[in-house]
Amino acid sequence: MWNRDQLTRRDLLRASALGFGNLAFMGLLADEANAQSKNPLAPKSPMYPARAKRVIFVFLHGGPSQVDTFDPKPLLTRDHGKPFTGEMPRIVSSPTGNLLKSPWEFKHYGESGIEVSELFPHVGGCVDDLCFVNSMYGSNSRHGAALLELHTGSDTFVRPSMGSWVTYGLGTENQNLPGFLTICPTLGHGGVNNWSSSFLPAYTQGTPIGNAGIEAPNARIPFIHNDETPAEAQKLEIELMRQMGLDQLSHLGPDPALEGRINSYELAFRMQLAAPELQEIAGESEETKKLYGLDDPKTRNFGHQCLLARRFSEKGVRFVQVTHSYKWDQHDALRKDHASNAMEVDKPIAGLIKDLKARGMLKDTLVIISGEFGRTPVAQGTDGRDHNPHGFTTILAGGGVKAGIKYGATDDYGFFAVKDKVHIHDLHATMMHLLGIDHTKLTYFHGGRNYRLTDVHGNIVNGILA
Amino acid sequence: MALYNAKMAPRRTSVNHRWTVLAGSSALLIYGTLASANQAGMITATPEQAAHFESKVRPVFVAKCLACHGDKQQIAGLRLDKPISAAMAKKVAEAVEYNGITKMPPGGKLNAADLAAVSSWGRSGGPWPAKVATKTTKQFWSFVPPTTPALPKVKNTAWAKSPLDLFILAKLEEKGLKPAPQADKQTLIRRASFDLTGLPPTPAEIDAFLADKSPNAFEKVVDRLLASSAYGERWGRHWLDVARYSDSNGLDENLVYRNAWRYRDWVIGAINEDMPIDRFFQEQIAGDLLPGAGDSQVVATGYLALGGKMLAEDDPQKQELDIIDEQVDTMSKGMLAMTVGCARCHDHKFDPITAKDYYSMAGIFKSTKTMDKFTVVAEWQERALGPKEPQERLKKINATIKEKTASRDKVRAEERTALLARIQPEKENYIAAAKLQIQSEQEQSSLKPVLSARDGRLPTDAIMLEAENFISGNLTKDSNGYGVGIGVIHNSGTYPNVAEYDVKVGRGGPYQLDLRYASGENRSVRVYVNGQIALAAAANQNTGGFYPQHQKWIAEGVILLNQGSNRIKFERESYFPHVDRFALTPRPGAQPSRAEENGLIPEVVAKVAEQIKNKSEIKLELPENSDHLFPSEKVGQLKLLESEIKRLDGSRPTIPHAMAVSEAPAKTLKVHLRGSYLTLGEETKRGVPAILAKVSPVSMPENKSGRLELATWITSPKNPLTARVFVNRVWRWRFGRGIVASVDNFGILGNLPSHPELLDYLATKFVSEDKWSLKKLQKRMMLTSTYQMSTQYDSKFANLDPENRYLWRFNRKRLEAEAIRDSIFFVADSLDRKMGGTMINLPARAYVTNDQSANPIQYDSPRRAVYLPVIRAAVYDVYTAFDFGDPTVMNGDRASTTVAPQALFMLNGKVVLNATKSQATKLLKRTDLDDKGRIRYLYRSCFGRNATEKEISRSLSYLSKFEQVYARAKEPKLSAWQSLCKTFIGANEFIYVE
Repeated sequence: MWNRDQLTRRDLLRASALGFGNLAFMGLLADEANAQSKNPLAPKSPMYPARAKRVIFVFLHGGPSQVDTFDPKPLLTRDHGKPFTGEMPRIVSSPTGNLLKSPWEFKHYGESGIEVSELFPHVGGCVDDLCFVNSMYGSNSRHGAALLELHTGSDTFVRPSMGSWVTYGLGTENQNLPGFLTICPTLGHGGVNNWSSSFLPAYTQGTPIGNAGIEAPNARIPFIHNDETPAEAQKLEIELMRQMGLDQLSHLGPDPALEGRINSYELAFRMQLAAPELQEIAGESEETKKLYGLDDPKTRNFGHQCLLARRFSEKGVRFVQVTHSYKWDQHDALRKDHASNAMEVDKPIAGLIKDLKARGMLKDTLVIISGEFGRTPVAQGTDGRDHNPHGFTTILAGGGVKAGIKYGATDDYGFFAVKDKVHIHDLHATMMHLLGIDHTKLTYFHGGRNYRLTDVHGNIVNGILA
Repeated sequence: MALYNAKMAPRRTSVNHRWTVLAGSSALLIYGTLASANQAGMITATPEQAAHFESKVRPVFVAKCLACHGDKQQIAGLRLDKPISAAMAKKVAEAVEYNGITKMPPGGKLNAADLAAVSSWGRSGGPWPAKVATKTTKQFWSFVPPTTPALPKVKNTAWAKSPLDLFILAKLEEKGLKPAPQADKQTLIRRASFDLTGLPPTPAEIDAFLADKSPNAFEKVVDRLLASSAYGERWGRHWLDVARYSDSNGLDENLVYRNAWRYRDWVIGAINEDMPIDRFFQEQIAGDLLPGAGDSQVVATGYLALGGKMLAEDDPQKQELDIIDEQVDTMSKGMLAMTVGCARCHDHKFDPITAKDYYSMAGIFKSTKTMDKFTVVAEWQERALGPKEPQERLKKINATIKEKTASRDKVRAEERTALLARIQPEKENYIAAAKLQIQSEQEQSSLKPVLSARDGRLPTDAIMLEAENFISGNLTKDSNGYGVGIGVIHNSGTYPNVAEYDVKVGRGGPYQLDLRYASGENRSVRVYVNGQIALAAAANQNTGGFYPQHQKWIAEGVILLNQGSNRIKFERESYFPHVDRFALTPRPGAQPSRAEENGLIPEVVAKVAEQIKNKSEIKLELPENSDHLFPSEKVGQLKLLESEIKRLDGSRPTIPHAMAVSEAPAKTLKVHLRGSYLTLGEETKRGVPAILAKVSPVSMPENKSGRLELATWITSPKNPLTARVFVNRVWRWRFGRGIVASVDNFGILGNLPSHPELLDYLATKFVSEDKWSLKKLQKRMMLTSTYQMSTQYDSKFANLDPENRYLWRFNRKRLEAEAIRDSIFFVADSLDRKMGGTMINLPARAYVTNDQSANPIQYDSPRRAVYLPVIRAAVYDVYTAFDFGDPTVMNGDRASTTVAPQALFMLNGKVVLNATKSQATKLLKRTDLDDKGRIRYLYRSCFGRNATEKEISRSLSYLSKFEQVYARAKEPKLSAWQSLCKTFIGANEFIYVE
């Protein structure tokens, strides 16, 4: 009995199935009225005690190769150049050749001794705070569908994104900011659909800050600012509109929608002050900036994104996504491009983990680091790998997740997840569980049935819960 | 089914292999006994058990068991796609638990969650969901054909102007409610204008209506509005919501639907012409098959083609079924308000729609051609329009081009093979040259660009050229977007991209080439000087993006120029970096290395150098474009072929195309268990849901898709849903809520009608008297007391009926995104009323968004919003803010939320700032008005009413306060008036209609 609106809605819908008709619609209207009179983003309690209060999702777009990063495969090295003898996936993206060993060495790190490739020395330094899920798998071998599956749970249709579900379930803690932000998101491979609320209420929509074509320091929230109107003037504008609105209300009678709209101007005005202030990082110490790699042109852009993520999370934004744009798709030039990609994200990611930990935020912030799929252990050309949704690695940290462990495994060559397999639906179910939400119970009625983030799937991965 | 130790199991063994193992085991006997129990003692699931089964158990069966225990084969006599006995279920539980001799699945234990689900299901006797209970639902109201009900008796007979009012009033009286008084005329004309045209009334129109004292004055207003072209733009847009209209694919690969606008214009035209709605539907489903079909009917079938598609789906069968699903779902929700799509994976849980029904309907679309090809990137079909002759001519030209291209490719391939063989003996020389080149690159990499800022002082003998000033070439010159303020060149869409410059230098010798460009990826360009390749990979850096802020000067290398005129050429086979300008600075010291002086091919040297750097295997590779390296007679031959192809290409007649469907070979579909084509069930026949076929039968032809029959069936007066669903939609768009509130769902989980008799009255009259005329239906609804009530609040009634379900007053409505935008331009007197056509300036099937680049569509046009492109996955931000919704999904019931981004748009949006500036400028030019008069005009144009004295003086004092704030601005008076206009547009009274 955790969320009154939600239960009311569901009860009413059940009632309507028995023939009480429009009651259900009244439930919807009641929600909408709430949405207008109260702020629908007001924080809501979880269903049961939560381990994580917020999520930072670090998305590495393009498909980082698991066997070159966090899933070492000695047999792949041994059998380099030989044909893969197992059964190939039923559906593949491109023709591939023989097994291709990783060009990079792996090293043991930390007390846990987890092996990480030399591409990620800084992340390696954090292994004791990380949980490597080596047995991830998804359903689709193309970027667009795989992105949508990772972000929304569906590789077939447009569905609400996970950030929208989280915002819908939990609201957000800072009323001067959106509940779900996505920093420099990609506009390809589903674009907005990856942060859209779809059929959920519009207030759960992700708010983009810039896009992948814009450097993080220049990225802005839409309509957050105009150069023509001084703030002083804007205050007067809002005040006049308030007077006009109140005048009108005085002879129209009460109307929560009209009242809500009058208030929304004040919220907008506060947001105008709060958001740019948070994007202004000058006040951060030199040490912190260095931690995220802001002193190096190679890491500056992504480091800035990660630092913004921490700043927004700190101020109570429920779900923040950062995106390392479509760079990881190494069908060729694996050696060169995986190295430079890793260089761009390694220090910023490690910086984010260290910074969250130092500020005591890691314990209740769930960090998810993932691509949309992994890559094949067999070569495409001489220096590339094809898409592989059948086995890849996602890193989790903080918020109720066991630290310093590896969970699940791929086969001897890193092609298929075989042990303790974790589907993307399972990742979603687990994320919701850590946030205190039963993924089977957070539903929304649409198009004739109840929908949820995990559709009819999803099992909580108990083995990684702290 | 196999019975062997898990350790024996080879990984991912094939079904056949399992059979071999089976033959040698004792499993048959055990399963023989098992099978005999598979007859009786089945348990029917409770709803909770059914939910558990569908969500946890059936998926496991589908994934792991049905290949051997489904419809294809029933190894050991076990079949898990049908109910099984409790005893059998228990044995299944034992098998998956790996406790007994039988261990299933053979390849290894199920994961813990699946195992728990199947085992607890089996242990509880294998409860199987019952078939949908058609008995109780057969009489469900929406499946019973409507009949015209008797008119109800009311007390307040004076109030009712029309039969419609009687139904409303009867309900109000029954509930102890009273209708609100008639709205005043100012309110009425504003309401009707927004309702029918999406635009406010002009002060002149208001005056005319106020002055018209005739009894049918309001009817005259309605007739005028219905006759205006803005009516089709408004009501066409309503239908476009239901048709999930978009100008791009969205989903994974966001390709532009270059020809979708023809369907949009067809809709607007049809509504303006008052095409009967039965015909309107028929043309959209099967226009191409109707007698006398022409282009217009082909365009109408765009309805079926416009859905979002996974164009990069590696599984073409899945892709085809997903496209069909989208069509079934959109059409059945849009025209029948039935969620047939829910039955894709299993029988509908609530409505009497079976999976068999779903695949019957899907069979019709399986027999309809929507796509040209399903392989990545898939292509949808576009049908040629216009006369046949140019179409035939085009076919011939295309065939010739294909022929010529094939012979060109053949010559080229042969020559490449020969050339590669010729240079093979020189491999060592190439390696040596490559090493030298690497060395010289390393030296060159120490080159620094002469300039750092965009402008700066170059040495006097240096030369700077704007990239746009090429003397020949094909690149796009762009001084907006990517090139705003600086001007850049970028991709032309025809390859190779080329730009050539004529460069005159006073002194020959080595020059350093610096390029200023922006690129979000490596887009290396070949640089030719006087026909010789000089640099094989210039502009090969990622500067961080494609926008002006990513522009950087980068030193590219040293080239040799002759005294006097030189021809410099940039060339690339694919997308071009966004080049702003380049500089050539004399460089006395350095000498460029020139591979060709040693008789080597520079591009091959460059490739080898790349291989050395990447430590990959070294082999000689030719550049993509190697024609210039062939013997001269071959070069000539290729040039000839190329110019032939080019000429033919240019001679292609431009033929308009429409996204449209056509007939495909007639096929049927089997039921797909859990929606997967890997697990097929029983065969279906093409048709419509059985429960509806009982009321309104349909017969499907053997050798055609049945689309025409489907269209006829949907619009048959016997169909219990179509007319009801449509009049209900119209009611929703007018009154803010449907008589059936769930306008897209008339099924059991939908809402019951608040006024069932009224709905049936409207539906039957719409068919029998209005002959499906929407304009007649509009008048039937508007010339009523119900429509003309005020929104007056009443606390007593608000307590009795807080949501105004029974319409004791008119619902106040917020304008939709398009109406808001149009009205902002309209009151600023800047709305462009041009109709139709496309505003998309992209080649057909071009990417409209990709990973880095923002949506290139310009939305700042003052055209009516209905003509702005609708780009899926990158919807116009003003639309996003104001609940336009996701155009991938049909939606007859847009939300109306109040969120902060809307307020931000009103405060900061460009549309608002520009429009109000123009509005204020025009107001100030009105010399016939003083400031008070201007304020009065604002009230009349924006709110459709007169200002009070208090309001006038408040506005005046506001203006003077503002002029102080803006005192330092260039035009303080204009700024103050603009600000005042902003408050009018931002006010509730502007975007809410009483």
